[in-house]
Amino acid sequence: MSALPAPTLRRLPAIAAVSSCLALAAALLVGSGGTPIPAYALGGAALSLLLVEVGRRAIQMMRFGFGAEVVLTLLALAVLGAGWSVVVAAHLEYLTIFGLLFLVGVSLVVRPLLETQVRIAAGATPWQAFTGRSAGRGEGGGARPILREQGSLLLGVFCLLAAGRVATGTLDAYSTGMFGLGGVTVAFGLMGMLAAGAAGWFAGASHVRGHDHRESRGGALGQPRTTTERDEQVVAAHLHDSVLQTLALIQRSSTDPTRVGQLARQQERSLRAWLAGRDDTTATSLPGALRAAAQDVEDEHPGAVIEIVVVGTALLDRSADAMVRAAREAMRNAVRHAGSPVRVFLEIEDGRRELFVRDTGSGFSLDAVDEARRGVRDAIIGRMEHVGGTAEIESGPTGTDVILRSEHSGATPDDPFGGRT
Amino acid sequence: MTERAPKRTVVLVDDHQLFRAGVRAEIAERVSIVGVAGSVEEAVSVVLKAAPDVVVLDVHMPDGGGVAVIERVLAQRPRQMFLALTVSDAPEDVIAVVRAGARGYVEKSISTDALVAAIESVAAGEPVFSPRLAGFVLEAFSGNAPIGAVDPEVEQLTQREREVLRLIARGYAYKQAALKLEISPRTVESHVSSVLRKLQLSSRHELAHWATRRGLAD
Repeated sequence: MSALPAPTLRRLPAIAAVSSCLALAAALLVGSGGTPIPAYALGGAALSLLLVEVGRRAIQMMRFGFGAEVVLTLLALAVLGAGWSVVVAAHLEYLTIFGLLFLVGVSLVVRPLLETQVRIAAGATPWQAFTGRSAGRGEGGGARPILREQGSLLLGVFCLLAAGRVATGTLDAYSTGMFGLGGVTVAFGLMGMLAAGAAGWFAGASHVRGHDHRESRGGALGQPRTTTERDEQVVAAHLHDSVLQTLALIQRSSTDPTRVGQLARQQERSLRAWLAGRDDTTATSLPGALRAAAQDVEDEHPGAVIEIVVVGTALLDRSADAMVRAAREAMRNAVRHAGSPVRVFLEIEDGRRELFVRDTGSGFSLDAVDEARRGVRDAIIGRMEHVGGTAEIESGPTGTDVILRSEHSGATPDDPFGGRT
Repeated sequence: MTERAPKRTVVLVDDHQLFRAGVRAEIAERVSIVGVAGSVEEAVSVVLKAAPDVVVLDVHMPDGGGVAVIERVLAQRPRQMFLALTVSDAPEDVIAVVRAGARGYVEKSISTDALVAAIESVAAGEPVFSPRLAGFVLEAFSGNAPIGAVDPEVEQLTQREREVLRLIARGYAYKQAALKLEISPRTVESHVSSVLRKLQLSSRHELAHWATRRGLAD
């Protein structure tokens, strides 16, 4: 929305206003004797101006990615306005004033309304969206454009009300005698206007939602189109700074390959977490806690790489917590005895949870390493059995799998963290 | 395939010159690199001219990325094989290249050996699934996702296909998966091909919807 070229946006109504005022003044001077011809010309001019302007705006909006619904609504508004103008044609200078007010009003109202919708789509409540006090990542200088929007909206509404007043006044004064239908016409006109406005609002809202769905991820390319995307660009800039910091660190520690690997891995993780919309500082889900555990293990063992694939999600309840702890031990074992990469696959489906930790090393023999066996028995199998799950170890020539399984059931209230060591 | 004398011919497409050079240095001895390209335009003309066994390409590039290259080349050379090599783990990116016609998808952190093996497989017409891609597909076809549930034209995965995908997601190579399931590696490949076909048939809209939701839910 903000991509609409601001100069054009402001200049067109201004040109229309100035020329119409001049024309109106001229017409009142010339037409005071009751000559209808200049007045007709003036009314015609105002009407064409209105239609041309709305047409231009429609084309502009299409070019900037507005949906057909929005454009159609605008055109509908224009036709409605034109039709209404014809009703008011009893007095053509009023038509000019009406057309002008209507045009300026619509121009002023459209953009703030769409911006408000964008903010609502981004998660703000209507009031927050209108006042600009949206929760979320503020952008320093956001207050002024919002003030301008509110001003523009109020002015626009005022213009539209004035247009309505002019039309009503005209009808009150002239049409009761002429049409006999004045009140009805006005009522229809107002209802039509309200309906068109509502249609425009919903069309705009649905368009904005679709727009966000399609564009929010690719938002780094090209102009930001919505407030959401602008926010994202701010965060992206921040992240790029952090990436650049890491690169500087890497350059300075280029003689220490382990450190380089670790730095690169850490940066990759944080970038991926951000791209996937994950908040990696708080783990309230089973997948989140698993990722955090894998990070810890990677950090403990420089050079270790643990790749995680997750299907489904679940909250971090007691049994999930035990599973993550057991998995952490399994990952430690894999990293220590077999090296990287360690593959972890977590599948959650209808309360059934399966977690696989696989290394492709030659297979660590539990029988040979007494200490490892004890670790496995207590820290992996014991933990899982404590929460009613199972742990299984399959070791073969192509690698070792640690398989943790549990069915999700109501956790027993005592011993909230079974097997914690 | 490795024992066959002629090396596989490869065109490398990536807009990051540094990365291209790196990959090239790693695999140059084991495959024959017959062209490189850094943009969609360049890639289309180089690939059509060089007609390599495999095009190894990045998903993210200006002007439409890997998907644009695949679509434009396939329009003129329908049997061209593509292997997507990418840092992106956004499901919509992954699914988009696979749907466009890539026979494989691997992550840029892949080891040189595994990359060469993936090139060999794709050249032989075998699909290459990374564990992550297997995970995406499992989720896309799971009860949480709309595919199949909404679109009755798309077949669901068979039990066997799910088993194969689960093993791949766990890090099993095809041969290891075959051993585990007591079937032949050929059969494993045909299951994976069939999954790939179902994925390509599924509705773009549903996949996009699923991908967006997944990004939010995880």
